[in-house]
Amino acid sequence: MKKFNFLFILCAMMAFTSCLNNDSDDTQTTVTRNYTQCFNSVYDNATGEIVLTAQPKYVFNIIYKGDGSIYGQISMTNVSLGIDIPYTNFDLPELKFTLTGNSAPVIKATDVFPTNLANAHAVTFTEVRLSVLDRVLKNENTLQQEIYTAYSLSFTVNNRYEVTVYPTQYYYFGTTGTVADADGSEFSTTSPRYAISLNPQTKKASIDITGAQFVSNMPAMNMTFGDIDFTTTRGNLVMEKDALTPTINNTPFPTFPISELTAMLNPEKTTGTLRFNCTAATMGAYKVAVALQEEPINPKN
Amino acid sequence: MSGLLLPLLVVAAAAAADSASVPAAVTLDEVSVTAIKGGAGSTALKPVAATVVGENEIERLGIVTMKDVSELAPNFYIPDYGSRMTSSIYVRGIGARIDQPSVGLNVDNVPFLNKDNYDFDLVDIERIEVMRGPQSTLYGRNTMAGTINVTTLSPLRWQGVRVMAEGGTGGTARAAAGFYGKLHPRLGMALTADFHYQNGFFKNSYNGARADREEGGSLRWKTAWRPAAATMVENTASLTLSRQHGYPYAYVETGRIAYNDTCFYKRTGITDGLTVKWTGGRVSVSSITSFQYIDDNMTLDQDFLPDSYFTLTQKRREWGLTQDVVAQGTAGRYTWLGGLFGFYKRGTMDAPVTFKEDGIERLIIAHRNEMNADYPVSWDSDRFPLLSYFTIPVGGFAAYHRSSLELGEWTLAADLRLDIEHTRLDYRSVCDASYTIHDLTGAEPTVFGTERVDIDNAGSLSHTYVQLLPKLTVTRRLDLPESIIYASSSKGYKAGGYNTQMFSDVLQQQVMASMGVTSKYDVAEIVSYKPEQSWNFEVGTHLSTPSRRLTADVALFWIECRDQQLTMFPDGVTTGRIMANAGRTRSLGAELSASWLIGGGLSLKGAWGYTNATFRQFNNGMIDYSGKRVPYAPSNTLFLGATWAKRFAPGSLIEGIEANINARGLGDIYWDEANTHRQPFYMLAGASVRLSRGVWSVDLWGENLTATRFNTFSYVSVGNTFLQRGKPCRGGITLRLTFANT
Repeated sequence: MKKFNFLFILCAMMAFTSCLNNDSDDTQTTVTRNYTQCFNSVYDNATGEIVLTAQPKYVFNIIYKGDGSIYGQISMTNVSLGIDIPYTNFDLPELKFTLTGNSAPVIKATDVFPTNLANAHAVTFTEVRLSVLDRVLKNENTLQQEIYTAYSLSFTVNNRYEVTVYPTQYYYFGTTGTVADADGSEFSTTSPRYAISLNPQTKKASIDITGAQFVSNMPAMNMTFGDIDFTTTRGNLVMEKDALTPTINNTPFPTFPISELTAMLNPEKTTGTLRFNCTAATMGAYKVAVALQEEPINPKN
Repeated sequence: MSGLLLPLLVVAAAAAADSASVPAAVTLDEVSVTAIKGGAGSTALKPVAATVVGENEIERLGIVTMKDVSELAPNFYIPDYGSRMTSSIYVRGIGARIDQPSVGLNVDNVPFLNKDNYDFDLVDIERIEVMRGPQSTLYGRNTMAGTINVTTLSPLRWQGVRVMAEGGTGGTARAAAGFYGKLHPRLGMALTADFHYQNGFFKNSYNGARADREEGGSLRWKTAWRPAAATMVENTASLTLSRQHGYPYAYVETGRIAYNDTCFYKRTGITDGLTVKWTGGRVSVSSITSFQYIDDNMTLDQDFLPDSYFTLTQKRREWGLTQDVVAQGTAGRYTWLGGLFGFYKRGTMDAPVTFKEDGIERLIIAHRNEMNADYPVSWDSDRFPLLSYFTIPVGGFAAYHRSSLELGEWTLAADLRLDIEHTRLDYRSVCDASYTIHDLTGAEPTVFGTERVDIDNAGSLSHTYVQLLPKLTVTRRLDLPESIIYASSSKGYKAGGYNTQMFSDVLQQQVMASMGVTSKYDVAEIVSYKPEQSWNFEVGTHLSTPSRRLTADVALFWIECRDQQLTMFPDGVTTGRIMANAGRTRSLGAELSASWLIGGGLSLKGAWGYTNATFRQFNNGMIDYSGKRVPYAPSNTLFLGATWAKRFAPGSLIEGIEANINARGLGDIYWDEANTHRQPFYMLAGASVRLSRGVWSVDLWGENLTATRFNTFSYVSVGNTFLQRGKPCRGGITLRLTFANT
């Protein structure tokens, strides 16, 4: 596990990334990031309705200025703010990143006007928030270290349409705590990794747990919880499933029945919670609670 | 190798034409590595804890392999177990069972690079010198605990024919012949050959075969040439062959040796060492060049049970070159030595682990099916291999220097060595297997699916190590002959490397990962081990009475070792041993050895060593072993010997008789880091009687005459405990014919 300061990644990608947009002059360098594996959850605060719109495309041009400041220019295409609202493209102006210690760099801006519209003030991005977290993680299939970037993007249009952009795949870490029903004994581990896949068309989610371990003498297993219903609320994503049979390596494991699964993801805080019960035939019944976070916390991750 | 032999043949032809006369005998110390690097003169005047075993004692005690030297020097232990590949040597609590050695071995100045080659037949050996304590400043890598210097008989020192034949219990037979001659007054050559066979003392109850049967032999061609009064050239070329047919490891639960799969170890070793020494007025320069080659194959029934868990094979080929150039001189009270050393070796290894039906069922499938009885799996074949291929090139360079200054009765010496070494491991691991998942949830069993296990990993790891090794010594001569006291502090170093045996575990983890178990091992983390470093503080004395009839050596030592490399068997169901850097250890101890020529042909000899070696800091993530004794290293070594010899008039029926009794003691030895299993202290008694007349002599000998039962080794693997028992009471007869040229 490694977490890179965004600035460092910028410098590295400037040097090595083949998709560089070499728009460089003497004072600034630009790196382009594409964010396409995502969908929008649009909350209309006038009607209270929430719709999911699929396949938006976001391009982040990260501009490293000569004075050391970093700006982001966001372009979005194929964005719909509602069922009957046509897909639109927006180009936002350069917005400044704030760097705070080891935290992910963040853009927080208000009253931003797109630069690509004929009527510049027809649309107002009342609020814009973007954070970028780069992580170097081990790919469990190739066992190689790879870069996984977590984006957190949300914006409000015309003070009415509150858009939260969800990735179709989340990578979470966190502390997994287990309490045994039989005697109340507790077990805790920070080794497991949680990959949550979201399908906006079916509104189904699956959770791939790498290194699932509920008791100390259980071998760490790679489990998948599939076919989980999810909905989005104003700023959150909620998952629920009364009962499911996990699979391990595509094989059902009825000996580990999962029940009362609930999860909530908060993209702005980049955290979440996951709870479920497991009644393993050979190990007993356990209540499992996971405090999810996008930042790795265990060196083994 | 031919590049070294051809010049010798040319030299021989050239020397034969030179009719200048030279002394018939050459003093041993002129060409031994000790003399080259440690200076001429008795070891009794050197500030080092050293034990010298001469030719007569080698024959008297029946020393035929390096393992027989064990306990003769205090705190020096070479356990007799396993194969000739596992030459584990422990000195003062420091040792190694696999990979890098802690004790260096030089044979006729050739530094053996691979510990797997250490155990060979000792034939016509003039002298074995065991130097304890770090010798890293002069002898370099992997001499952190000491060095063993072996010198073979020189044809310029002795000429004639020597023949030996021996038979003993256990179906033991040995034969050796040596031809020593001078082609020219200044050119001598010797050719020796030996053969040994042992039917064995232990039986594999599974098939009735002897578990410790072995045979082997060696050839040695030694050339010693003095082309000029100031120049000495010596070349020793040797070929060793060894074949062992099993491992006598007994399962503790049953007390029996019983395994069903093939076990053997076979080895071919070739070495050639060329030493050239030129001695000027106050300066001498020496060059030591060597070529070494080893080709061996270790195949094991890794579980050592009648079940078919898995087998391991390790086939290796390695060649190496070394070059050492040493210059030394004196200028009044100042003596100096400087040298450059370089080496390169390259080895390739095939190391497949084959899982068989019981291993597949119990180590892979059983636990998986216990977790999912509704969808059980079955393997699609009754065995499959985990293949591993390695290439390991290692090279290094060193520069070293010693300065010593005599100030009256005092001598101050400072050594420094810079050692740079680069090692690389190229690996490839392959597995191709498959298993079937069954669905038992319906009315009839069906096949749910088939999964392939297709692994092909390749990579390369490399490390560069740089070490600065200092040593300071203070010596004071006493008013007694050959008597000194000394104090020294020195740094020792053992190279880091790669634990290739761990790859089978990495692969096994990946096989389990294909079944949904999270892969735990990171290759770079699990197969690499760091260098081991130590600081050695020692005070000692060599004493002798004015008559030199009574001599004694005493040493007290304190060793702080960091990142000590320990051999461990991982918990659970892994297949191989691993090297782990154990944190820190401390060894404190004392040594006493003495010899007394009482008179009337009677002499006594004794050596006792005590070591308290403990972990100061060792936590493997689950258990804290701090304060525990370091395993495999004995806390006490003891040797006691009494010899009585008498000569009768020439022409008598018996012209000479020599009787010897001896006792060797060892222990306690702990077998694990937790100190839950140990071998208590034990003693072994031996005796021999030699009758001689003219050219022949006959020895009647016996070892372990009290039939003491003891264990030489114990380990836990795959959750089972195994041990190897020591050899039982045994005896034999040895006939020697010695025809010396007058």
